Amino acid sequence: MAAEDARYRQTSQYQMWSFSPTQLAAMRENTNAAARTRIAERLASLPAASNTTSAPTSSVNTPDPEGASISALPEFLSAPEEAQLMNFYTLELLRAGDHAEMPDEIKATAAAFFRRFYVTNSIMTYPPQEMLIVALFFACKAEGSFISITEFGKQFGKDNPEDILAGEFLLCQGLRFAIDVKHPFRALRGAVMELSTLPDIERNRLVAAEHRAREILRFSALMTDAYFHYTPSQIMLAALSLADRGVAERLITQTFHYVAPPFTSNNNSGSETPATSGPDAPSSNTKRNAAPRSSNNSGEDKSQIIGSHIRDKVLGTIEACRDLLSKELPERREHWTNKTVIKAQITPLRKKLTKCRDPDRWNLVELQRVRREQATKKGGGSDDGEPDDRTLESDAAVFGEALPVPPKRRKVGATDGGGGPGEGKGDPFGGPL
Amino acid sequence: MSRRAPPGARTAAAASSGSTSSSALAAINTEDMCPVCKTIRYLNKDMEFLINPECYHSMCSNCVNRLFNDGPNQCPYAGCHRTLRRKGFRSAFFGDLAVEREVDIRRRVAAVFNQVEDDFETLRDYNNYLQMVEDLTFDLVSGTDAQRRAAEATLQQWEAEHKADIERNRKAGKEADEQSRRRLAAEREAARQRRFEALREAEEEKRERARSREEELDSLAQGEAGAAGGAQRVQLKKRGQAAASRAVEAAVKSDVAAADVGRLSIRGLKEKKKAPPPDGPYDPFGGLDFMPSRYKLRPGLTHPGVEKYKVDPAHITGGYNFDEYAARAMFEAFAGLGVFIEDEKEVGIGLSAGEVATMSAGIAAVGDKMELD
Amino acid sequence: MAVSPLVAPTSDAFKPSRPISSPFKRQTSAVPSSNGNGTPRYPPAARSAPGDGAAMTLDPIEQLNEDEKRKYVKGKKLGEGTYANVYLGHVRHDPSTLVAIKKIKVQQQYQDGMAPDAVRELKYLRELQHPNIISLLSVFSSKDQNLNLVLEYLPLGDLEMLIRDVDRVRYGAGDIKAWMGMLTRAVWFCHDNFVLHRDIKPNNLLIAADGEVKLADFGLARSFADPGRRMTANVITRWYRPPELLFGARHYGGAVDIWSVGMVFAELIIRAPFLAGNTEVEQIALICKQIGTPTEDNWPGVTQLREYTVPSEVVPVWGKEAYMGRFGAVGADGVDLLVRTVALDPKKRITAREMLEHRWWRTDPKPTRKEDLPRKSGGEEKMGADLKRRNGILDDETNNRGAKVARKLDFGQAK
Repeated sequence: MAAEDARYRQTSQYQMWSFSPTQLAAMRENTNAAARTRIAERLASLPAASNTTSAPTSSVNTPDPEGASISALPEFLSAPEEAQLMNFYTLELLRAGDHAEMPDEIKATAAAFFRRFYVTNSIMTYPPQEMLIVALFFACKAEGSFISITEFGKQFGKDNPEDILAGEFLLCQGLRFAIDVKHPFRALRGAVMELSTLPDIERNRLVAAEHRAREILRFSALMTDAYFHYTPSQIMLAALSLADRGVAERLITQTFHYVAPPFTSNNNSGSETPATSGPDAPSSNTKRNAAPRSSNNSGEDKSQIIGSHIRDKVLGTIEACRDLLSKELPERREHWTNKTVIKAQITPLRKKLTKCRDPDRWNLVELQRVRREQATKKGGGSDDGEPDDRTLESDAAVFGEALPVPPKRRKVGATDGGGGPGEGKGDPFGGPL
Repeated sequence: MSRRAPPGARTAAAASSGSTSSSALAAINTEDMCPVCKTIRYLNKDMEFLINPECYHSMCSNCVNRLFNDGPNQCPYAGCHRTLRRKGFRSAFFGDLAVEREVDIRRRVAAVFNQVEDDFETLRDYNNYLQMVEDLTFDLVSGTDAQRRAAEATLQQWEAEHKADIERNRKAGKEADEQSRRRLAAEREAARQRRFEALREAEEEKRERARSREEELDSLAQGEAGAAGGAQRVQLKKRGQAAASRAVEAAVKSDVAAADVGRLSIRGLKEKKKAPPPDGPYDPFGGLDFMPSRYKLRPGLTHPGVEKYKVDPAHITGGYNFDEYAARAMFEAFAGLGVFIEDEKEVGIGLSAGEVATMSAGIAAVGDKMELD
Repeated sequence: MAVSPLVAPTSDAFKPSRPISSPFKRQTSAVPSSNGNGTPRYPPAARSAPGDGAAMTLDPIEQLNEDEKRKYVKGKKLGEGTYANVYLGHVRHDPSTLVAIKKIKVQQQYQDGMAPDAVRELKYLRELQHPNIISLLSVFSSKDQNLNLVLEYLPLGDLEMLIRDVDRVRYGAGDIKAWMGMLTRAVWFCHDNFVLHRDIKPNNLLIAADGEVKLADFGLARSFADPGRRMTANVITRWYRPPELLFGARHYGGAVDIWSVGMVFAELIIRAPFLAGNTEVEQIALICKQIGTPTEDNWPGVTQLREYTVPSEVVPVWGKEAYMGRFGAVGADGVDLLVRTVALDPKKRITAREMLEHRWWRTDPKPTRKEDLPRKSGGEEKMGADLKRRNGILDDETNNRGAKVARKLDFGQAK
């Protein structure tokens, strides 16, 4: 096992936020389904007056299968529709980041946060326009540049800090508190560093490849599910491959060059990377290698780590990643900002969204206020001063305890309070750039 | 060891108290007069009282000899018609003969009913057994005649039935006693040794220190400063070694002691501390070094975007480490290259499928024991 | 899109043990997965509050959080502060496993949402798993939207307690070596993962029940910066702050942590803070006096740093011999290591890896085993006090230790 791979497996990105495509699809499907059920319940329990907002489906041709119950339930977004909306909003997020001149890392982290959040939460539950701002804000913090909320809000035309802060903890929770995102940008630098040492690749070619690869990383990697399915180094190589296939392949063959000698004799001579004929002796490396073998047996290990079998596998993975990234090359940016496209594809979805969104959760500020109230009502001020050995029962299950006062439910309709979601009125942060 | 006559517990005493004068009464109730021959201590300074477990009547040794030396005879106490023999007599341990009697009975019972907790399946069984034994004992000690006889019969019967078990348990008990005795002796011995060793070491140290001081003075006189550090190190080493060797010795001794009692498993014996395992050389990395497998960090790695900062004074003076940056870039370029998420996640390395399922909304409707990362 | 068959069964053969297994997995290995057989079902509608549905029903992610929270039982309060409260707790299904639950309060002072130190702690503790770094076992949010970090329980206080308690605690060269080994390993691991701790001091070195020293308090930590990215110079408690930060450098590297390690090393030996200045200027003066004045000769470019000021009297850098008198207890090799950690020019300062490769670890006396290290009781309160302190607050104004006289280290008690 390669030492650096072992290290990567320790990260929260690998452990908690990496999935196979089937798993991810299943999760999104489940999120969607659960959200539907819950929203249906919540809408159904609304007082009759507000049923008008969840009016019978207006913009759909097909008969509503869920409308059979007492109140006509709206048509919900399906998982593919949610995915489409999410891509749209991811781009909005990137544009917002560009507008505020944020560094690549922060934008990328924000986009990753955004996507992660909407794996276990549905777009119908929490407003994407708000959450993308929150994601940008929180990404600033996560990447170490702590900015004041007022300054931040100014850049996006948000005068009320509450709007953004309300969603922050929610986002953090939705991320399952894994806020370290590993990006491929520095990896690209590393690859270029390594390639620069090779004599037979000319400078300009490398520079051009890097430039293009970086563009791809800034856009495609974030607009697809690449971060979930591939490691940053694989993403980086895929981008590099899209930019200049030859260069990427050169690097890979360079790395996975090991050919096991015919007999398992202990010749390490064939196992050095060509560039290290110099100072570094292999023995000192293997002695301390994470895979504890003596230099005699390193042959077998090395072929595991940098032999041809692995090389082919890696190539295959990178190929797959390439395909994924190709779906959203930087040129697609126009597609997403094209007015016609938006009108045809996005706007109907957004309209649908206004009808089927979660009445309890949509207004983040309100939600936070209610939560805080609840917390202070229950057990006198949160969990402080609890006696020892709190039993499961006394843990105050949230269910089954009727609130003394039902939370005030703001009518989520066309009328906007301050900071309400922008209803198809264009960009929340002021006009297209 | 008191030799007081039983205070009014027996008919003999009651009888005699009625007929004698108050002084005699007083004398009986203390150690000073034998109720049989009425000799008082004044006349026989070393008068010793003996009892016979048949009837627990006490009399002075003179009487015992006089009455029973020539064979069995009747107990001299009025109303007690038991036939006593010379060899049955012994001196009482307890002043209160009732207690003496009870103790004797209990001893007898315990010799027969000598099972221990471990012989029983459950605690309850053991408690039941104890209860039964206690009931029996009570009958024997203070029951009516009929009860007593019945209890006695039970006792005999039990003894007959469980002869083998009784024997076994008895042996076991004896062994246990042996071992604890031996252990105590060993510990005492060890303590003594330790004290001795410590004393010896202290003396040695004193001598060493004096010696090294001499050496230091000598070497200083000759202008060699380096010797001091060496001597100090040697000193430290010696001390450390002495302590270590002592620890090993102690452990070895205890091991030896433990080996003796090895065969029988003694309950409640604490685990002897083994000698500390010989450590290998100290590894400062704690066994966790990281060496890249796919790339090598060479000094020449750089990038045009980085070069311009290498000449920036702010970076140089502040101690910004460009090698660290290169290491990081290289690491990120290769870390995870061989990690195939699709395969690993499906098979169950890392996030298990179960976890994935729970992460996706509300699967675990049951709600309990969700698998979480 | 059909539900993946994956989701349904089995594969409870999860989590093969790794050499450094994630603490996040440790908890769950004892708890069997519940949905061995479930096809995903929606939770039945009856789950929500009966009747009016007025209660806040939980979303799945909230449910997950709730379950995570239920894994731990919160016990008595160990410490309380403005920044956080610390509670003793234990794992619900294994009451012998103790944990410390640090509940970070919503800050009144910090208006901008989650406090930076909370964010940093969350980020770096999660990613750094090493025997000499405090383990973050779990994170959950409480009902009142406060962050709860579940940390491992370290009852034996911190290193500062041991150093300070001159009367009752005695330790020797072997103990110092053991502690330094642990500290250096922790710092090396951070640097190997490209994280700067930026607040190393004896107060932040907590002691576990088995004697292992663990680095805690990542409230000031950050990743190494890319070239060109400026960092703040206002980090690390003043007594342990390296000269480049005192002179206001905005681009620095792991060397800043190494300086702090050197200061801790010195403090372990003389049992008093080595350079205890009351102001930055005083701190610089002490460095100049005890180690040497930074000049263009020994540190090219230093005079150009934005806040470079030194006392007029220029003291040449002391050589190794000068330290032997005061720090000789750890031997010539130990002093050699110490001197390398306090090199004025950060480029010349020893790195963490080089520290671990130094010969001092191989000379006698051997580092004592952690079971045999001296310890002190009364650590619970101290742990609570340590954890509840606001991370990253440079609060040495409250520790007026400068007044104390340096104590002599007692090597008479052989171990």
